[in-house]
Amino acid sequence: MSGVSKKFGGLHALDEVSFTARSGELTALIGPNGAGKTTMFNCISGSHSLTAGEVYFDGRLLTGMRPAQVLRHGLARTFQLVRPFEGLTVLETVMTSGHWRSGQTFWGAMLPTPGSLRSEKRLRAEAMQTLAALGVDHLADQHVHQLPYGQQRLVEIAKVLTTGADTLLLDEPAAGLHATELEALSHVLIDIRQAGRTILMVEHNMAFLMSLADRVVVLDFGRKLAEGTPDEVNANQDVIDAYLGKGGESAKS
Amino acid sequence: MNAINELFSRHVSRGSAPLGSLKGRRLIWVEILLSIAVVVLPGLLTSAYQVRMLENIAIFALLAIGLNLAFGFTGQISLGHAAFYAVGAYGSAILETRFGLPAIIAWPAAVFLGMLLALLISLPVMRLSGHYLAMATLAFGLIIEKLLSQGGAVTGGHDGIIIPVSRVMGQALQDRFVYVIIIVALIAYWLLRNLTESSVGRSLRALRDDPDGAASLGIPVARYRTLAVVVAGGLAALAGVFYAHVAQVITPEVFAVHTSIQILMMVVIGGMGHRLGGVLGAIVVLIIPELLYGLDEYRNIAFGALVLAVLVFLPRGIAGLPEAIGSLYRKLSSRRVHGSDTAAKSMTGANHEA
Amino acid sequence: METALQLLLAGAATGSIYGLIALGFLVIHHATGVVNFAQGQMLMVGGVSSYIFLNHLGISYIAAVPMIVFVGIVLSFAFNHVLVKPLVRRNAPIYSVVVGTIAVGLLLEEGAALIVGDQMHGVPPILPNTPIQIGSLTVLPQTVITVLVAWAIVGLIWVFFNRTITGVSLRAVGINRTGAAVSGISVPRLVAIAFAISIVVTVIAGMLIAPTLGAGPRLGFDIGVKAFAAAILGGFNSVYRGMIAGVFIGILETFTAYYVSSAFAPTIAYAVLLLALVLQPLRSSTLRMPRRRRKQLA
Repeated sequence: MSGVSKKFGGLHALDEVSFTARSGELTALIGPNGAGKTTMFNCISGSHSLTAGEVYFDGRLLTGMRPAQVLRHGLARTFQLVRPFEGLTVLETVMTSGHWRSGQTFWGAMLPTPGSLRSEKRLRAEAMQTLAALGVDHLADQHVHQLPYGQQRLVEIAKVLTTGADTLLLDEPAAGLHATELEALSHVLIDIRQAGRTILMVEHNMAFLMSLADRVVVLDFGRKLAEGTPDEVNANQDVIDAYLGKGGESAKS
Repeated sequence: MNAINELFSRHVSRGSAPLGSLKGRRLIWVEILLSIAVVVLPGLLTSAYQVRMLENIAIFALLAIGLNLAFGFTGQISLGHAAFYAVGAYGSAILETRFGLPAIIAWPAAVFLGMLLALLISLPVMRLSGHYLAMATLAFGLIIEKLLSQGGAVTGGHDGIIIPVSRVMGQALQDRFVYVIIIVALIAYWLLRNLTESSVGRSLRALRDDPDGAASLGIPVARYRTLAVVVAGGLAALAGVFYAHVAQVITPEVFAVHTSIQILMMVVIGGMGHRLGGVLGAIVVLIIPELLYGLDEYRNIAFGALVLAVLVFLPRGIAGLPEAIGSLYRKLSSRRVHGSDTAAKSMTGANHEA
Repeated sequence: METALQLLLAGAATGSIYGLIALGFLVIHHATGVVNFAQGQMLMVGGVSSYIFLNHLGISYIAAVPMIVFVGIVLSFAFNHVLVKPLVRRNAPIYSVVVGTIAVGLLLEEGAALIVGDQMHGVPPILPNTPIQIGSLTVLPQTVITVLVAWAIVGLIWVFFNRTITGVSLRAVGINRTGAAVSGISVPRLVAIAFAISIVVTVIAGMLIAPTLGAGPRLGFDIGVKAFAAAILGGFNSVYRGMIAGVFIGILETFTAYYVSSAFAPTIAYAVLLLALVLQPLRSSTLRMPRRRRKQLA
């Protein structure tokens, strides 16, 4: 599977931003607030339409597809605002992510076929495994909206993992997590990358991100400032200027 | 996908058998037992009145189960559900009496008509939500009701249609009709129950709670909504066919707004989005007036008050009663032990303010 | 020509009533986000109460009006405290509120049926029914009074919302609830006032239209739907446009009744509603009551 590359232009929030995220790598997208990171995500996943430019995914043009189609091509994303399904438990929510590839159809589900029973078992097993990996499997039967914020974020990540997409767009996955949760998340992300999946991540938590990222892309005011390995970007003068005053804080671990 | 298995197999440690399945496994035995009991029941009844009562409950169970699917699970509110009920009743009656068709053709045709109407009405109104959808369905129901009473010779106007049941069904079928209705209702229950317990069911609930979030998980929102409404319409039409051949005469008043509201109330009282919601609601709503016998005039007021009470105190309906009692018990006992419990709860609650 | 003008005036009268109810919808919706599906039944309460006061208790109109207003205020308080507040407190989804208001409407209908019987009753008009001559038109005093009073009420409401502190505060509450609260406005008090205004106006409308339409417990949904059609057509955000839309629907009805069929006339109004809803730009109401915590689906 070849990499993702994006070329943009013209959108007020994003101005001719181009970069490439290679498959099997974790690429981090950073920048001050309002730099256009979430807008970028929206453009990639199809929630926003582009004024100009293209998004290429696996050699295919992604622009113009709707979110459901994008998912079928192997790309899934999390949202910054947690959007829990009110009536569903954690387990049910994560199992729902696997629905689109479960093979269960509307009419078919009415009959208790062995196929659908097997599918249910598989969905449940996968969901539990993902939750366990993130350390939240003990919350399986609780309702998502009753959980504290940090755990809701982890459930969001579990959701996106169970979609089975090979490319994941994570919007500030570390936000609101404390130390143990962060560690679980790191392990999970490392595992995923080792398994060959591609991650594009927006983050503010520099320490978390620098240890994980293969490449970093820096945005500021809708334009790309720099692109390269973490060390390269850290040394980049433009980046340092943009983050003036933040350099000291980001060194904290 | 095996990828996930390999990925996380070393994390799967604490044998966590999800507790949800435990409840589910117990409940299915209850459902099976009740199903058997219901089939045996007609034989135990002593009077024709009781049989009629049972038929009524089965018919309304069909209506409520369908609406529960469309509204309780999928979030498509309908204040005009009686319209599909009417199409089934009037459809089959008209085909039999005005066109001389036999039941074997008229009945499926009527059900098909109900589903077709549901499809047609759902297309334009599907993108509405909340109040607007409710009002649109209300208007739709009122229009259908009006058409029925103004239908002239076709619908018999205010006098309605009389169905010559013995000619249409034959004596044998007529005597055993209660079994037919019950068995069909049971089949409908189990089919829909399987649907709602499956991944599709979860997807329906997800799309009810957050259509955009569901769409981004690959759930076909528009298609599922339409299917849910069409199934509900079909079941309602089927109920109408049964009603026409049980009551032997149909008039427009039977399918008025109040019936639509009654069905909606059944779903609310029984438990929206719970597999037993429709059935429980139908049973409760139809049995309560019997218990209040003597206070006949007050029964509708009691009914309305019951709905309000359920909404305010028991939001998950009667089906949620065990859970409500459980959480109430837990709340009371924990308050005795930890006085600061409520303080902790309110702190975590404030965390996920959007 | 005369017939057309007669129809126009009659339609304007009933239409103005639809507009008043639409106003009732609007005020409650603006202040709380709730659409009161029992608004039609509130009108019915006005009509039935008039019947009780005027016919049964023999009270004169002058005394009856304040009594009707009082009934409206009591009803609004009961409605607010028994239904809306508990549901809002638990942050119920919008469908709970819809079903709740419907249940209240049902209760009102059944209660009225118990008290006055499940039938239509006649109510005496304000002034005796001797027709007045205006040019070549023969009109009943009640029709004229209905239109005049209805629009006078609308005018008063406009003054209230634009020229009084309470009214402006109420608008603020509707626009930005937390902002209003933070500015020192007592939101619960204003919400109670909103309910009171909405329901009192609707109840008075019921009294106005009772001599023309009759008073009976089952009027609720029918009129409610037509009034909602007026509210939607009027854009759900303007006092005047709702009235004009209401008059439009009323006139549409009378013309349909005369030239097509009296039985089909209401259907026209329902069809208008459906069309208005379906053809309006994609506007979906919020799924939750606009409040703090999120809770489970009821």
